[in-house]
Amino acid sequence: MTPQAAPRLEAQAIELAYGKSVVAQDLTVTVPSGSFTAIVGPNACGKSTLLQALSRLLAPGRGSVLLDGRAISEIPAKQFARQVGLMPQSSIAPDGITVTELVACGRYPHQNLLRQWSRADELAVAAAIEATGMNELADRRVSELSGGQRQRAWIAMVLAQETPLLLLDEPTTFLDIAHQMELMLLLEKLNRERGYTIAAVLHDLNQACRHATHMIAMRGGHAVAEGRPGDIVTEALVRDVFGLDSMIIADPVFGTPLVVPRGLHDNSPKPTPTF
Amino acid sequence: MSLHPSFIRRRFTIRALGGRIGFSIDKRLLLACSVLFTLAAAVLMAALVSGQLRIPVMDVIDVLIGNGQRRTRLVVLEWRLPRAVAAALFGALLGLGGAVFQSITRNPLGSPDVVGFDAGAYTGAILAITFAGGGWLILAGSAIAGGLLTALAVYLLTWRNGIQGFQLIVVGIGVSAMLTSANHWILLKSTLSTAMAANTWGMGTLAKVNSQQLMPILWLAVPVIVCALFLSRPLRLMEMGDARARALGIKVETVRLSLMALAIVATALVTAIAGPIPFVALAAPPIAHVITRTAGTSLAASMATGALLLSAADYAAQHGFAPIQLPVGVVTLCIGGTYFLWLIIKEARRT
Repeated sequence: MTPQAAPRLEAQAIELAYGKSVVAQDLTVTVPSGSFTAIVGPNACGKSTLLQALSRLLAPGRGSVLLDGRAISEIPAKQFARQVGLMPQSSIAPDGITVTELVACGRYPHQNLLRQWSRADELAVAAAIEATGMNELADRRVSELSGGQRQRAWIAMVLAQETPLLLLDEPTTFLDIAHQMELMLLLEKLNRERGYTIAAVLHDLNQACRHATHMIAMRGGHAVAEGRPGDIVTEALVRDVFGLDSMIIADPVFGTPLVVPRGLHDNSPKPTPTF
Repeated sequence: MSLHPSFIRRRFTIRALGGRIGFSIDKRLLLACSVLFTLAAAVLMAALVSGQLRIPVMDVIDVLIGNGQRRTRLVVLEWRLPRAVAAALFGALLGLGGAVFQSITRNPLGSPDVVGFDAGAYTGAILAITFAGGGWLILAGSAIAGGLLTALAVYLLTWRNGIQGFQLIVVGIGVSAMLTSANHWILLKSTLSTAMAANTWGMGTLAKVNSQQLMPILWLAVPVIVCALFLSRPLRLMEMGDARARALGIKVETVRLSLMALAIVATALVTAIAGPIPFVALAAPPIAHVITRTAGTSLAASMATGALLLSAADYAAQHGFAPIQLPVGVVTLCIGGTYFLWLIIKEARRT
């Protein structure tokens, strides 16, 4: 279930809008191949919207999103779903579904009318359950799981999709600190050991610094900075993006930048929602 | 690395042609559907046997395979078979319509009648009876047109970059209420005979079904059912939310619109011949869910349940109070009332 060639996803000068309210204009970002990319920024900066555009849920008004150089709008839906997996912010588990049944749903893009359940499907589902450490829980109902276990079950479903690229929208929200760590380590493992390209919208800047290899910092629909967290996360950037006065020290455990807030910046642009 | 043994045990899997063909189905679902369809077939058989002239089962079978006396053939094939087949087929079509709408709206109250289909069809029927005399073809066409136009209006009124299930129900109930009052107004203004004809139609009855009416419905119903079954997998996945379904490569809006159209047509075929039969569409899917206990909507199980429900209801309507003949709509109304009572008690216990 190791992905083949690590793909690369890029947005080129895209304009994103919900109806008439424009969220982002002329936005250009790259999810480099083989990277663990974190998309960070204040509330309503357009980071989730960007993820929707990258995952084809939202068609950009202008510009285009390219997967290995090919416009994703031209890739057939099911074929795209074999390349890019998405973990949305919220999902509904059907009443009474078991973990294995849920994970099996991830195989849909690999199936067709006559081949609804193949040997490859079985292997992929078993491997996804194994990779997320859900073996013990495989026969449990999703509704009986804890929040952290449920999130892992959903991740397993996306893994069963066997896409070399994973997009995750705030996967750690609603999880306690230990389960957040557990999930981030799982993603890190998938990225480093199994070669997945991962892009995740993350709320916690320090968490993003610890685990990501590439970072896109957004404000007001623009990518303010892009690069290795160690290179781009500075006091100036935190002030610029979040309107926060801070001190940046080296994380005593991970060695990555650790943002310690001092207080709100005086003439900070208050994080006023634009839509 | 292998799948959990109990998952494998619960599934019936077949593969052929070197893995190019492979199906897997929950055993309990398979068993439940088989039992439900068998029971529906048994009720159908009972309907062919029973009546003022009781015909032994062996004679009925004899007729069905092409033999038998002329008189027996007439009774079984011309009088009883169309009605019995209609009950099973219409029940399945209503179950299909209800299951699709409940899945799409994610609401146990979702059904084609909720989006105003029945009220609109009734308006169409009343107008046909009032202004065109009410030959069955005009009546059927007018009822279908009324139902489709109403469903379309509700859909367009609800559309805001997509369809929200709950809003669809609220708008549907509003439009239904408006149409119902319009229906009453037209009936009040019409003559007594028109009002009575409309009233009979509005009850929902299978008593007048004949084979000339049934054949075209049968030919239309088969492709509708087949198409809906093809879309049942994406429908189930869409129950996990639009974003998930789209991430799996499902064209959510296309699937949703197609299924809604199929569900409306399924209901329209029934309404055209039998008038609005209440509650089968509403009750069949949750009953199927209780029986199969599988996650997500099963269109096949809902159709099987609907077929059994309406067959049994029509059998009761015909023979339960003999010599009085009830419209089947009255019986399904009683079933529906019982179902609602059960729903309320269940909800009350939960809270």
